[in-house]
Amino acid sequence: MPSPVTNLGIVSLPFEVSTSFRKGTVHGPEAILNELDRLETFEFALGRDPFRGLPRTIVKPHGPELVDARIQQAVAGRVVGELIDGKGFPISLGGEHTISLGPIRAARARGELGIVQLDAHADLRDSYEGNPLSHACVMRRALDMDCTHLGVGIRSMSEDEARFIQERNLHIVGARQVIDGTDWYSLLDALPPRIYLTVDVDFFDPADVPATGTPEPGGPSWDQAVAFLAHLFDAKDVVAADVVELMPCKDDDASVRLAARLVGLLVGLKFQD
Amino acid sequence: MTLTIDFGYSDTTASWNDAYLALLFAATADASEIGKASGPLAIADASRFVELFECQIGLSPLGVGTYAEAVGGEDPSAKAVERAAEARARGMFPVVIGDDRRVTDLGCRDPLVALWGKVGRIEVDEAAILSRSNTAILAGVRAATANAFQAIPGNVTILTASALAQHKEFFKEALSRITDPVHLSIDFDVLAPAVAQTSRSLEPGGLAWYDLMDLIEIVFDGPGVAAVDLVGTAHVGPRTPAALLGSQVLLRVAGLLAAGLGG
Repeated sequence: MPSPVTNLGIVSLPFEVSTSFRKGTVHGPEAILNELDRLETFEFALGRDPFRGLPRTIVKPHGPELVDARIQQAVAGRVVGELIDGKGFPISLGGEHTISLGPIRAARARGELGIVQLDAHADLRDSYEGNPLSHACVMRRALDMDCTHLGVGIRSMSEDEARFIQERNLHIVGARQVIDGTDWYSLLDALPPRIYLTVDVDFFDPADVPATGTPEPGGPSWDQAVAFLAHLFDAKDVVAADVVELMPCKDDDASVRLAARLVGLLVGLKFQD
Repeated sequence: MTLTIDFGYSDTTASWNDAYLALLFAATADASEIGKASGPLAIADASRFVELFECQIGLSPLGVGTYAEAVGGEDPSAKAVERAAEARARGMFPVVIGDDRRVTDLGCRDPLVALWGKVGRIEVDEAAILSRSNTAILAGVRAATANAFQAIPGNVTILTASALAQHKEFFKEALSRITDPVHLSIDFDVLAPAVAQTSRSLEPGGLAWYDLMDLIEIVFDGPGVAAVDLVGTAHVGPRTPAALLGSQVLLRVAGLLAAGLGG
């Protein structure tokens, strides 16, 4: 039975410390929020405006000056926990992928949790550049919280991560599998009813989203994401979500538009009645 | 100048004397400006940020001793091709990364061509411009002048980008007719503009990322590979999607070599 939700909470988490190839994800939340103001919010995939009549709050619990990952997690986790307790559906906006940890911990504290990760990278390193709280380790830390997990669109990982996946018998759906068909949707059956959804925008092909920290070739398309997310929200109770790793660039408005459109889609899929 | 190209694995680096894979970046910029003005060096720089991509084929570049060098001087392309021939003579697998087609053109000329041994040449390129007798397959083309097209010898198999994407069996069939090891030359602009993301790739159509990956895998599964060129990288900027893409091509080659293919 899905948890009843009555309102939307958008949580701005402009946090960036550990990104490596390119920096700028700290500007992601502001760019998405600005774009949401400009967006034509009728969603054709749903046949309606997902925001119409929906009570919503925008929470900005910290600014870009916060650089301590543990404090950031505590702050974000508290806010997201309060939103869940208030029958809200929190969507956190990053920032680097590390911002997922606080919200995941808050959701996990309230019941058994599965994580669905849309991402180009496995993010399962135990440590990266000596930092266990790097954006490259975020799913490994989430698994430390005794969550189950499904990675979708993955096309880059280290050999250590590949070994870890094998040892832990984790389910990873490669990008090409996503592009080629839908026969993997049944992997969701192995997850518990309550789901935390994290979308790293580098999941998408760089042709659609070049504005991200580490863009990897060969990603799925927008339509492929829409099809899967519609199935996910039908099959599971998605209790919270995030959209991370957008790195706004001048001369590229399309990436920001996609990220904002994605937020609208998640809202519409959650509030279907 | 020796570069460190290790795809995140320090134990893959090797010296000129004990490497198996030699990555030779024909660099037109000062090495201190890595990635600033040179596409090849932007790709070299990006390789530090890619990881084991070979999720698709379950392979790791580990086990392939990799030597990487920025080859400068007055004519980096010519020097890099010479260096590649030396590497080949020493039993290494050379990959030259060049700004433009000059690397490919130089590799076809005497006396350098003699250093490669007898090879069949596969050019993967947007443009059908060719006049080399040992080119067997021209794949991925979608632009040509009538004169250039007519100048192509009748024994060269030409596969357009759309034919290649939809009918990979045609490419396999053409490859099966080559008995010598092949020299594979990949021009960046064979990719669709949205995929390549460089200002140089303007022709509509073109290969998708996985089309190119499939093609490389088919070649390495064929009669043996003597060397690889990755050219047309002049417009690959530092810390861009195109730079990462270029390094992923190199990683795919390393992964296939690690699997024992192509030799």
